[in-house]
Amino acid sequence: MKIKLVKNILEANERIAEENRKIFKQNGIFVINVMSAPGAGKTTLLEKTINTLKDKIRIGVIEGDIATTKDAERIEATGVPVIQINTDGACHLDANMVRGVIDDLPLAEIDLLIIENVGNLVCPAEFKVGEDAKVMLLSVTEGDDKPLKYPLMFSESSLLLINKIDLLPYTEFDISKVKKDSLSINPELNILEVSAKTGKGMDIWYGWIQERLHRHFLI
Amino acid sequence: MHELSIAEGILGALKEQVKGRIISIKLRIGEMSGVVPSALKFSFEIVSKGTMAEGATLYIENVPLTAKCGDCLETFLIKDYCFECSLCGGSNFKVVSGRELMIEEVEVENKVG
Repeated sequence: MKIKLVKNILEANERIAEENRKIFKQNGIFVINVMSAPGAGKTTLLEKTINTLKDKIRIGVIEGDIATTKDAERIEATGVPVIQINTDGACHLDANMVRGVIDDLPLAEIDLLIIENVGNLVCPAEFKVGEDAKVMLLSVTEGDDKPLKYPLMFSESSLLLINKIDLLPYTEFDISKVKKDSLSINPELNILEVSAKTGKGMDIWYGWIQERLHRHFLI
Repeated sequence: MHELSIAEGILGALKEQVKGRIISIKLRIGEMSGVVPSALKFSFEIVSKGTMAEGATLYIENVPLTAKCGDCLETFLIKDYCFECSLCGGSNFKVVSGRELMIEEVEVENKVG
């Protein structure tokens, strides 16, 4: 006997992600899901961002990693609340993993929750976790062919941070090509050039966060 | 790499909606989902062990990436992720297929008698 189903495989994940989103909304929290390949500079970006904004915005962090608490320890040193999720092999965070740690966060004391996803350019893009915006990093050392090789993440993100621009003179990275390819995949993508290490361009990123936070709380 | 999670998603959906032993499952998988069919089949074999879907055959239909142009209304195939209208060259378009991760049909064993 054949049964017609026509059912979205990720429906269960999307249901839980929507529940997470409601919990965050009820608590007045704006949530960013930060994604990139391993080594693109997510944790350094977070450290700099938190240290710059923590006096103005109450920030919390969920750190996703396959193993170890190294990143969470770096975030903990900034003094903001941080929860580590070890995925034990899974290459991305899913909504249920995030749901499992929500109650461990001091929700009433957070305005901005940053979820650092597992380093991977493919899988995290497919799984919503309850975020308001997806932000991706691409570092110039990864090469300028990435938008066309990994289009899903570029198409799902609201903001692309091209990181490590201080290293541009030492690479063949063509920024205008990356911008053109990224925008052809996602015409609404915002693109910023930054160096989390030197601080170049970071003010515009901080402005983006504050603007989005402001807009989120108005709605 | 995320095929294991997707295989778990399939099994979860089947457990909710289907009773009886499953013989085969028809899936529609979009080109842009980044799912590798052989990896999905392998993952499903592992997660379905000891369940009602153990040994079930996965039929995977690949759905090409297509978009509809907002200017000239042409529906066109996107090749090599070159996102521009094949007719008018415009970039004002909406992706209409290629993001699917769908279970289309399930075949279950007929009960005897």
